[in-house]
Amino acid sequence: MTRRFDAPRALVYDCYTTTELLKRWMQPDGWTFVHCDNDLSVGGAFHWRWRNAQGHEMGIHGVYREIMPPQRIMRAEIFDLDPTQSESLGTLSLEEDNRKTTLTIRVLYPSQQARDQALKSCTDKSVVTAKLDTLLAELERMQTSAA
Amino acid sequence: MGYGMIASDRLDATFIALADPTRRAIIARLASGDASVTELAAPFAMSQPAISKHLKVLERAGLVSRGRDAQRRPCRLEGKPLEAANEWLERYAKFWENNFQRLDALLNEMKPARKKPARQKR
Repeated sequence: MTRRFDAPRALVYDCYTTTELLKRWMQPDGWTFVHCDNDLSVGGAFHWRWRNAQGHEMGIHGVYREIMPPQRIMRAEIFDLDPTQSESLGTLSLEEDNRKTTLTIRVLYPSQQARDQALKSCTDKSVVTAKLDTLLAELERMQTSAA
Repeated sequence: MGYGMIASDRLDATFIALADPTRRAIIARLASGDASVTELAAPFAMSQPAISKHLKVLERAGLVSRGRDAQRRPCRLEGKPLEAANEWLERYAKFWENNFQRLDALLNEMKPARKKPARQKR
């Protein structure tokens, strides 16, 4: 997944690594942080968990493996709700040019099965009209941004 | 990331079926109308049996159905699995884009503060 921001990467890095700042943007509509624990050190643990109005919770936890401010963070990640509790490797990369930042997130799953399991936990059965070329373009993008 | 109800195995099969450029091209072709195996094989440097193998994966995923006409057995694109997969992708993309838009706003707030460090409160 790739996204550009109109800000220097030191600021984007801070927004990803400072608890107070994380709470201001990484809360999906209707969800609030229940835990936002973040020990930003090599071997440090993190636990990000959200709850919605219906009382459902979702979360992600793990351990930081590599920290290179302001350009790179690599960490082991496990979805709280994943029944297999399989660990994937998430990498956040920040590149700056001309005071604008390109953020890239790559997630490496240990096996096809683990990736399919993660895909499995994120859907429901409702159906909307498909736009075929949008879907195909999204898949191309997902394939190139998921290692 | 977005946790809804547990997905059907159909969603797994759909993504696996789509994770191949030849199969994606077959689907794109069928989107503009039914076609025979011969017609589908034509653009590829690939034998008909090879195309048929891809078609079987697509059929097992429910993405393609075969007509009953014994001679031709035309292939038809079935929309439902794609709709479900598209819905998943849209929710996933929207989830992240909403977050990133909030991040845009936060970054905008932070920028002027950095230019006047002595006077701004954070």
